[in-house]
Amino acid sequence: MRSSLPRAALFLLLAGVVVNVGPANASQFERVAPVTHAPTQKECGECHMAFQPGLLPAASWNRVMDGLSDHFGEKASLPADSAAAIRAYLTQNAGGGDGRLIRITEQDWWRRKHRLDPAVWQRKTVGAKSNCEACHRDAGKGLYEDE
Amino acid sequence: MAARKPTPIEMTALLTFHALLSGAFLVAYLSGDEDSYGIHVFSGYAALIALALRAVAGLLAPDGSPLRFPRPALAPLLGWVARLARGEAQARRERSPLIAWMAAALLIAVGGAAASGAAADFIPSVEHLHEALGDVALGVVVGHVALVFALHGLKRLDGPPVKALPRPSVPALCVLVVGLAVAGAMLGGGSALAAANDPARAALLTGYAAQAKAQNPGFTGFSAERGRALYLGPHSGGNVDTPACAACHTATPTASGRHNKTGRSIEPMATSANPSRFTDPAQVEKRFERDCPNVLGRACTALEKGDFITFLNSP
Repeated sequence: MRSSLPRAALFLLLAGVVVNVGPANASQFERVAPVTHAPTQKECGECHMAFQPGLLPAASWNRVMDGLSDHFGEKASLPADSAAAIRAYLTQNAGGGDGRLIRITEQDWWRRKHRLDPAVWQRKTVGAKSNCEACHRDAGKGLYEDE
Repeated sequence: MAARKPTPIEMTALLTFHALLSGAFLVAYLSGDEDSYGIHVFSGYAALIALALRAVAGLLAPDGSPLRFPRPALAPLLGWVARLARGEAQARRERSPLIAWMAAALLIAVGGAAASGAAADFIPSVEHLHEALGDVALGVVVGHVALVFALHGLKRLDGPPVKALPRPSVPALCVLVVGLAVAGAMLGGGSALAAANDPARAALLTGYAAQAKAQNPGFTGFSAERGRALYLGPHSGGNVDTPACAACHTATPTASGRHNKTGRSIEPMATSANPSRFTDPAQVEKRFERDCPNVLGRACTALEKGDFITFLNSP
């Protein structure tokens, strides 16, 4: 019953200020448009950070959404209606890149930016390359300034 | 104004009422957010019941009884203020007519908050009024605390206390302790009760029970013990990395879990630690549909689903 207005206002502000630059020229600002679709935030964000749609091209998102029954080795099926809504949001707001690859971490732009000691990924606080927030604390909001 | 001092029994009743009402009001005010809705409703009704009992006593008690409702009047108040202004020592020592006004304001403000809450339970549009009245009531309660201190300070203005404070009677002390314990138990018990008895979860379990009965006519009920075995595993047939629910959710269902691959934090599974668990049927079905294959390599039966929820809903 307490109003969540301040949070909503902050969210709108962020959404308004951040420009969707896409990963192709993300180097300029190190930020991508945050996820603004509640079902995407909820369903994708249950098991991992809800990756912003701009991080993959539409073809890759379609492949991801086609393969939810084996989502990187895990069953991640969704009811048909929410899967369709999420697919539409992801593909309509998609970025650039190689549409044959479904891993963000295999995209050229990602690899260029992450030439790090391989031991980094083994750290207990990191665990996996997909754990953006281990290093980019505000990755969930689309902010990837070097940290 | 009461003509005599309360008897020990009356004092006991008044202290119980005060402890119940202040505890319930505090709990209700602090739990006003949506995620603690069950306990908010529970403590709100507790306050309403305490007030209703007080109202019955206040209306039925004979004239002169300290249980009778105070009747604030303007003339005694003005007279008292004038005598206080003239510096009369007696005015500082005697029972202030302000107390009756304060009591009336408290009864109206807290009663309004509790009654509007009960109304909002049935008519959601009353919620805004209820929230406003709750804030008004808090203001009146804070004013009440300040007034008690101020009046006590007035009495002590005349140098060292003439007589020692009366020793509180043993029954009154006992009641105070019991009252505080009841308020504390309400906080703990209320949330546990609200968590275990969520109607949406009960409906979900009823549905699984019907399915289990249809699949096996010998079905006699769910078992927390079987649910525990399912939760702890280990199983084979699913992903080798997740041979049990406990692989991600940990062996302690009241603790937060961690996704085995991504490291994403998972809220506790036990309803005692996370009351929103198993209250959204679509969410529950979605997770069973995914995680049973992930852990067992196959779908779960209705019996397994019911056992699982029963285990995690046990205290």
